[in-house]
Formats: sequence, structure tokens, C-alpha cells
Amino acid sequence: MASAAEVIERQQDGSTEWGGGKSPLRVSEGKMGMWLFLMSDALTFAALLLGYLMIRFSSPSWPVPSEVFGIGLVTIMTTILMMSSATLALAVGSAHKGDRAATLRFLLITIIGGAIFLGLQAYEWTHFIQAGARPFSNPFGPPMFSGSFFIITGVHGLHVLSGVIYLIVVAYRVYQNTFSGDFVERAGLYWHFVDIVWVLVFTLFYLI
Amino acid sequence: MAEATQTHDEHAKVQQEYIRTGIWLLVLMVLKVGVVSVEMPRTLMVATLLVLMLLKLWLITGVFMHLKYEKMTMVLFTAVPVIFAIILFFGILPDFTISPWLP
Repeated sequence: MASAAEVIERQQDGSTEWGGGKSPLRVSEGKMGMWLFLMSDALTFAALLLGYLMIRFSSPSWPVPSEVFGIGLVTIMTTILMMSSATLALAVGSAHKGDRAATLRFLLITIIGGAIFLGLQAYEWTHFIQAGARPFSNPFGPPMFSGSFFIITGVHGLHVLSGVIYLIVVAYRVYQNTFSGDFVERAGLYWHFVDIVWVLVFTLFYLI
Repeated sequence: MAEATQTHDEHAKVQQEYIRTGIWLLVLMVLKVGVVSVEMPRTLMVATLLVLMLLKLWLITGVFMHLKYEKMTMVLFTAVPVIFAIILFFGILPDFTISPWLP
């Protein structure tokens, strides 16, 4: 067992993990900041999804979402978002290697994927509104069916839009060759988080 | 400036893992859609969908978000929202089970 003097000496020279002068979690400040943001954002979506589940399962009737929206379009949207997550992971890998051209290429594919997802979501919203759905009323079932749809997919869509803008900024920095692997990885964390939320929305809202 | 921090072999291995994960995510999604399309008891369908969803979440957070390679302290740190979500769930549950306010 180390004596008190040895412990004090180790703490003073910063050699212990939590003794200062090191990053005990082994993540950069930027990455840690992004994780903190994502954790707070996760709570927003947790509140939205839990509220939705409570309303849904306490309602005497609820429409079958896959019959109202059609499973085909949502499956295509999900595939695009998941594949864009994979291409962004490839961009992060290329950025860490310092391969500027590959990073830019994968980033652009991801941006296009995000833009297509947003376009399809706009299409889905348009059809739903044309069918008579409004935030507090709809011809399919309880008023909160359309309310929860607009709120949850709307907030998620705004996140995708923000992500596309964020990725455009990142792609510009890569184009200028003023980037680091960590910088691209932070954007990747955000985009993967958006993908995670969609996995939850796809399962809990559209499939169940 | 971009930093070259990985060797060529390491990089190829990591990229292959990302592609493999992408394919697994696709397979899981096809399975989820398949589960909804096949007739089965609702409880079994919901349970299967939830298991498939958790598998997808594990793949995305573990591989794409690199949590698999982070320290356990960091992994536990990122689980904080889950704990709060569970507290929130049990906090609002009585509103629906004890005194339902919806018609």
C-alpha cells in the first residue's frame, strides 16, 4: 500500500488518473461538450416519446400507424438515414487517417442522404395534412394521434435539418483543409444521435 | 490541418467494421419490417421489435459512436439520460394508471 507521502507526490506530479494534468475520460474537450449536449437533447426526446407512449396506451383506441402512413415510404426514409450514418462513420474514419478527398466524398454523400430524408418527410407531412390531419384533430382517431406525430417527427426533422447545415459547414472546413479527425468525429456523434432517435421513432411510432 | 493518426491497415480494418455494421443495421431493419408484416401475437411482436431496436441502438452507439472503445466511466456517463428517462417514466405513470385524465 502506498504511503501518504507517495500519494501526495503522485498527485502533485499529475501521474494519477484523476490527479490533474490528464483527461481521465480520455476524450477531448470538444467531444465531451458534444456528448453533454447530446445527453441533454436525449432527455428532450425521452420526454416526448414517453409522453407519446403514455397517451397512446391510455387511449381506448389508436389507429395502426403503418396503415395510415404506409410502411414503404418510412422504410425507405429509415434506410436512407441509416446508410447516411454509415457513410458518416466512414467519413470520420477517413478524417482520422487524414484522407481529405475520401472525407469530403463521404460527407457529401451523407449530406445528400440527409436532404433526401427531409424531402421525403416533407412529402409525408403534405399527404397527412391533405388527408385532413391537423395538430389537434384528424380523421383517423384520437386528436393526439396527429398531434404527437407532428411534434415528434417535427422536432426530429429540425434536428436532421440542423445536422445537414452542420455537415455542410464541416464539409467546407474539410474542403479548405482546416479540419481534424476530432472535428469531424464531433459532427458524426451528432448525426448518429439523430439516427438513434429515428430508430426509436420508427419502432415506437410507426411499427408498434 | 488533418492529422494522419492511423496506419493503413488499422484504417482499412475500422472502415470494414463500419461497412459491416451498416449491413447489420439494414438486416435488422428488414427483420423489423418482416415482424410487422407476419401475423403473430401482439405481445410477441412488440417484444421482438423492442429487442431488434435495442440491437440497433447498441450497434450505432457502440461502433459508430465509438462507445465500444471508450473507457467504462465514459460509457456510464453517457447512460445518465437513460436513468433520468426511467425516473420520468415512473414519475408520470400514476397519472395514467391511478387517475386517467384522457376520455
